[in-house]
Formats: sequence, structure tokens, C-alpha cells
Amino acid sequence: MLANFLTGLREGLEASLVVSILVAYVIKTGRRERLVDVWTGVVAAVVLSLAFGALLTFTSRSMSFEAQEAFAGIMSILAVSLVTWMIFWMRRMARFLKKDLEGKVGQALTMGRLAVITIAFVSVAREGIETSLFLWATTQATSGTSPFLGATLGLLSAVVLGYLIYRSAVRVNLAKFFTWTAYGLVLVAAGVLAYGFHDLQESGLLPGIADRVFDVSSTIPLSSWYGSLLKGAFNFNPQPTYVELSVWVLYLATVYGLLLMPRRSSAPASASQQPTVSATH
Amino acid sequence: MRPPCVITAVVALSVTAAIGGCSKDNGSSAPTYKVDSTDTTCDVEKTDLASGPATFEVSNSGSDVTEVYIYAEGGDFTDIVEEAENIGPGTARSLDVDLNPGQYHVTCKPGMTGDGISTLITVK
Repeated sequence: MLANFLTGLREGLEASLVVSILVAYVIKTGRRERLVDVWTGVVAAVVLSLAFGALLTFTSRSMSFEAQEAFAGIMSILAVSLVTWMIFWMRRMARFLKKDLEGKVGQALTMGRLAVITIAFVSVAREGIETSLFLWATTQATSGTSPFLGATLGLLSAVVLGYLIYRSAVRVNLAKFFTWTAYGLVLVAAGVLAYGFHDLQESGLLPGIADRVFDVSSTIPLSSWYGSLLKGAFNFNPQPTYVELSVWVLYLATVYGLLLMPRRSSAPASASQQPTVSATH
Repeated sequence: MRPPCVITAVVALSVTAAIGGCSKDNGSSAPTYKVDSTDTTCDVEKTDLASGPATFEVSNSGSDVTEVYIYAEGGDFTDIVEEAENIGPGTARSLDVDLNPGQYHVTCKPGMTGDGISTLITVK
């Protein structure tokens, strides 16, 4: 029960974190009606993943793990691109808000609808097939209903943790919210990117899956509660490959570097300039 | 339906088509071999197998989540032929493979730690 619970938690946590940030963003910018976009993306991803997982579990169809890993890898990289875009968008908003132009902010704060739907969809879908295969397998357990219960409770706990993050995120002021979620999302995105490359290595599209930098999997096992949380939130891998670790370090260094870089001193010009961010309508 | 919904529907449908196209029907003629993954062992029902399509039915009878990899002998058994992750305790997963003559490792990783426990199989 516990192991199935932790696996559910691990698999659900990352998607839940990203979705909770999206929901907090929508609520905080006073665009409650846009919640439907977030849920459209989430529901589409959940339904697709469950349907496809059921097809593989209950029929004689199978999907090679190469195809599965390539799918997860490509979705991960797509998710990171979108989240990175969102991070820089949030930083721009934070700086904009600091200029005390709150009155004009309303319209400018609108992220494109399609962007919101796609980020929600991709965040949930990237590990969706894997999670749905795990979940469907627990429904067929020979040892009764406890594996299914454990897995379901784990996934629900991930959702609850996301909700708690959302609750604390809506309390802080908007400029702070954008700044801190941007910093936090960089860590999440770095993990997703590294894992995406790991998936591509497993699928054989990239070489070097066996070349590990270190192995601390007996010190921080992924099956422990702390390993599960680290893996779930930041995609911590105790056995990283050289490619994975390099990608992780490069991404963190580049994105944090760009985030912390002082803004070009063009204050007078940009003060009157509305951020144009709703290009993806 | 507003435009973004249409676009989402199109994306969703093409994703379904794409992953649907990547799956294959295995039929039921392939022989099935049971693999039992416990906390300390990785038992394969039969270790001398005939080449051709085969299904490994992995049951996790241990207390921790497990993963199973089938490695071909290339690169000192690091060449992944098939794998299944997140096999919870009390659950089972099937791995479909097409076996060529040679040696393989069936490797279980209970608790997802270290290099796992390998059983050598020979395919003729």
C-alpha cells in the first residue's frame, strides 16, 4: 500500500505543482473565467492518458518502450519550453507591476488562452501514459484492492499538495507571486528537462544511458518518502547520466543567470510600453 | 465551441493518432514467461528460450515498487530492449519483446536502487 501510495504521489506531484501555479495565476489576475482553459488542458490530458493506458492494459496492443520514452521525452522538452516562456513572462510582469502601473495591468496580464491550455495539457500528459499504465495495473492486482487504493490516494495527495501551494500562492501580492513562482518553476523545469533527456537516452534516440556520473540510490532511494517528494517535485534522479546532469546544470545556470541579470537601463522608454504578451490567442 | 477549444481538440486527436500509430497488436501466439520480482530476487520461469516474439509477465511480489529491464548483451548488457517502470507491489505488467538469438539479462530493480538483480537468459 505504502509503496503504491508513494509512486502515485511521485507521478502526480509535478503536474499538480505546475497546474496549481497556473490556477493561482488565473485567480490572482482576476481572470476567474479563464479557469476553464486550465481545466480543458488538464481534463484532455487525463482522459487521453487513461484511454491510451486502458488500450494497452486491456487489449493485446502494446507500445514499444522506445516509442513511450520518446513520447515522454519530447513532451517533457515541450513542457520545459512552455514553462520557460512562462517564467520570463512572469518576470516581465513582476517588473511591470513594480512600476506602479497597477491600474493598467489588468489587460496586459493576460497570457494567451492557447498558452494556458497547452501548458496545462503538456504538464499532465508528459508522464500521463506511464502513470495511467501504473494505475490500471493496480486495478488488476491479484492481492486485492489495496494497491489501487494506495495509488489513488497517492495521486489525490499530489493534488492536495498542489492545492496547498495554490492556497499560499494566492495570499502573496502579485509582484512577489510572479517573482517567487518564476524562481521555483526554474527548478521544476530543470528537472523535467533533465528527465526528458533521460527518456530520450532510454529510448535510444540519444546515447549514453549507461554512463552515470554517480549513484546515490541506496542513500536517497526513490522509494522512500523523501526520495519520492524530491523526484516528484524536482525530478531528482539518484543515478544521473552525464547528459542529464549537464543539461540540468546548463539550464539552471542559463535561466537563473538571465533572470538575475539587471534590466537594460531603458526605463523611460519601457515605462510607457505595454507588455504585449497575448500574441498566442 | 470557441477557437482554442477546436485547436485543443485537434491537438488531442493528433496525439491520440500518433500514439495509436506507435502501438502494435501482438496477437496471442507469443509464448508467455513469468517473471517474479521480489525484494531480493528476480526469477525468470525459463532461461533457455526460443527466438521470436515473447511476452514476459512480470509480477511484483515484493514490498516495494519495482522496475524491470530486458537488456541485450551489447555494451556489457546495457542495451535496453524493453522496460517497465513503476510496477507497484501486488501488481503485474507485461513486456512484449522480439528475441533474437543471443544472451539477455532480465533485470529487476526493487526499490529502484542500484543496478538491480539480473537473471541471464539464453535465446537460441
